[in-house]
Amino acid sequence: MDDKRLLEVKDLKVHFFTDDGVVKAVDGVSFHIDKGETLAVVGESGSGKSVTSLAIMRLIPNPPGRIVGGEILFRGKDGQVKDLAKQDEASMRKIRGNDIAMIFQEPMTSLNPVYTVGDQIAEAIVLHQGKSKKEALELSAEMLDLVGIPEPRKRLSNYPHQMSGGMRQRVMIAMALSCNPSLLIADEPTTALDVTIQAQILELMYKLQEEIGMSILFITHNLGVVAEMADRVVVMYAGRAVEEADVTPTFKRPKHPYTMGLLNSVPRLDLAAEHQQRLEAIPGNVPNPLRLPSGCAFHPRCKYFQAGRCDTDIPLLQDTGGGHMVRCVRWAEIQAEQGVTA
Amino acid sequence: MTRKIEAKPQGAVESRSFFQEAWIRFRRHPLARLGGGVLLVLYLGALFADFLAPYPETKSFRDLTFSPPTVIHWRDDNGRLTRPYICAVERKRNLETFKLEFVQNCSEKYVINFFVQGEPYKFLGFIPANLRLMGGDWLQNEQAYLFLWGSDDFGRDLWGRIWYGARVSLTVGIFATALALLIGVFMGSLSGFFAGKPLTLSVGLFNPAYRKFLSSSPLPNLLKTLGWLALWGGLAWLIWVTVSGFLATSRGLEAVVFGVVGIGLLLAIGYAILFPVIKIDLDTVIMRATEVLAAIPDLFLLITLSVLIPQGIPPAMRFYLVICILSFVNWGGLARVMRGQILQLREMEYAQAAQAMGASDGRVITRHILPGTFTFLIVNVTLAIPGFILAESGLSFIGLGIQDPASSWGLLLNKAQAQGITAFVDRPWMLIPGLFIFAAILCFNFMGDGLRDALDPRAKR
Repeated sequence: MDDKRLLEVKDLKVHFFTDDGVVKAVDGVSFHIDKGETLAVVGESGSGKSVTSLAIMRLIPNPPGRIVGGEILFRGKDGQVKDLAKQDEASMRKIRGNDIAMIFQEPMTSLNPVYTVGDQIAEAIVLHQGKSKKEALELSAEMLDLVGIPEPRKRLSNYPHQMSGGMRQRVMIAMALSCNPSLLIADEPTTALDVTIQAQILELMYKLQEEIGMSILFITHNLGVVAEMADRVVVMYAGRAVEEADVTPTFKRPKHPYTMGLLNSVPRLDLAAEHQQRLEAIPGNVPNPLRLPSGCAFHPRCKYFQAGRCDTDIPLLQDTGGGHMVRCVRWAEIQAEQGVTA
Repeated sequence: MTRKIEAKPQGAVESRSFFQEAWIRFRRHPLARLGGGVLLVLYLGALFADFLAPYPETKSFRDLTFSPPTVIHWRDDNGRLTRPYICAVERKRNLETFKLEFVQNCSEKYVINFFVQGEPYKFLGFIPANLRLMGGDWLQNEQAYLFLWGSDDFGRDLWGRIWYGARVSLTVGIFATALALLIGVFMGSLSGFFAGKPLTLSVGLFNPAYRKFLSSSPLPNLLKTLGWLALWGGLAWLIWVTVSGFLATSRGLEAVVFGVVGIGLLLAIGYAILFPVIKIDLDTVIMRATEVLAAIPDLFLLITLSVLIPQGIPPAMRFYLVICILSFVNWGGLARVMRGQILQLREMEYAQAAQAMGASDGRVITRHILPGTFTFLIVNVTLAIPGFILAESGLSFIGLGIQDPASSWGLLLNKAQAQGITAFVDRPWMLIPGLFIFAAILCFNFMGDGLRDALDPRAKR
């Protein structure tokens, strides 16, 4: 594995074996994260983005879920590369929280209501760094200070219910960063917050990343957040990556119809009033994961659908130049078509 | 009027913990306060039983059986208030009705003294003391007898025995609940946490999975394998011994059937050792066990188990065995409700967050899930204690629980009915222990009710 690579996911397959059949929640996803980089994974609900993050943490509920194939290569703090898909539970426990930390979507429920926030931050520190409770609390206060909570020492003895949603998410971040992880997985960290707080939290994460130099795997369906935070984007649809590229080309010139659809469904404030268009919705719904459409899973909803080409074989992920990968058989034609209309 | 405004820094609110809030709510609940107060008095009474009782627990006066409560006189011969005194009592048979009557002889007055030196005892079992609430020289010289609430069939002071009995009756509930809680919580948490997640019990030696299993952590898994082999081997040996025993004593069709069954079982064990992966769903095993337990009528099970207690063992031993039986019969219900709670809490995001922080299963259960069930458990326990008190009283009442010369409320109540219906008419004081049972149960229920209101986070009052 390349020296600057932190994480490399190769052909990851996570299947859920339910009574109704096998759900291929993640079916051959590959991506990588470099050191200090932010990768955003974007997609609608049910596209497999959360399952991907849980698979990296090896927290897929089993049964029914199982990692059935692929590799998750991760460079630990000690510099050794391990395949997380094959680690046993005990060594995974050492990695979780220490090398890879996770922030959840709901700050309201991801803090335990029966402990003070100090106790909760200190727990991870005691667990992974073998510090005494007192040192850990001291460090917790520093962490709270770092995430911008005023009077951190007093706040240590607060219970979660005494804090607002934004504060709790800050506590969650403090908790995640307390052991200095090299990778932070943020699973929709701002979805449950209101917009002003969202901006604060994103800014905080951005600032902390600069300071600490960790990598972030950012899972979201909010394209505005992606544009602001990410270096690179992976767009997922129905368990597969459909487009992967740096953030600017993706937003300026999306090549997959699904990505275009996503971008067109976001209101834009940067255009002048005369250029504003009606928001376009992508017709239809995410397909039933038990019965995925043949060929390209997006074809029943696609504007550019062509019978006989789109619905026969699953398209391959092709490099269109400059590391911009697209999984669409017609991408070149679509580009040309768009070039004409634009 | 000026009010001093203290500038408090923003965000530094005095934090009141959940239990402080609950305590405030609890104190506002009048019935709970009453229940708590009465229970406190009862428990203090049990603690200081030696001090309250004028006589030791087993002191009996054979010629004063079923003596009615001693009359306490407050006025002297001239009708003036004086220090309370009692008279000597003589038992005589009324030659007209042929009933035994207790006749007072007030020629000498025995003044009741308070806080006197009495018969020595050991407070808490090891501190020597002899201070008693009531008494006098006459009491120790047995010139007169002080039976505040009458005496029982052996002429023992009922007032004292009620307090001695309180020690058993009131602690049996707590100890039995504690034990049932321990078993129930343990079983319930295992069952809830591992519901739908079967654990691999053993992997057959020739199963390809076994090599993978062994390679994941060689030494511990090798030891595990040896453990299973011992277990399976033991089982096979047991079956072998049983079947060969049957074969030696039977012939004809019987022998054929036993032989076939035995060989079948042995082959099955051999197959289990060699090939399949055996998984055990703890949830299923534990829950089916509680269902089997629940299918046997409680009283029947209690009585059956109590009969198994050998006669003639020391009363303390008997007390502990009764506790074990009570909690064995009752842990199932607690385990079931615990399972439900755990099942709900394990899906909470903070339980997953703890896992994502690298906490082990045991840590997630004990530190992150169990504390969430505490409020529920506290209420449940308070409401379970009276059930155990009643069960113990019931057992002792039918003579299978605590036995003479030890004392418990159920046992004392048993004496009330020992000689038929006359008890209710001729010796109503013998029913006083029943009142104590009644009061204790009612108070526990009041308190449980108050706790439930206080600890319910949705309660807004």
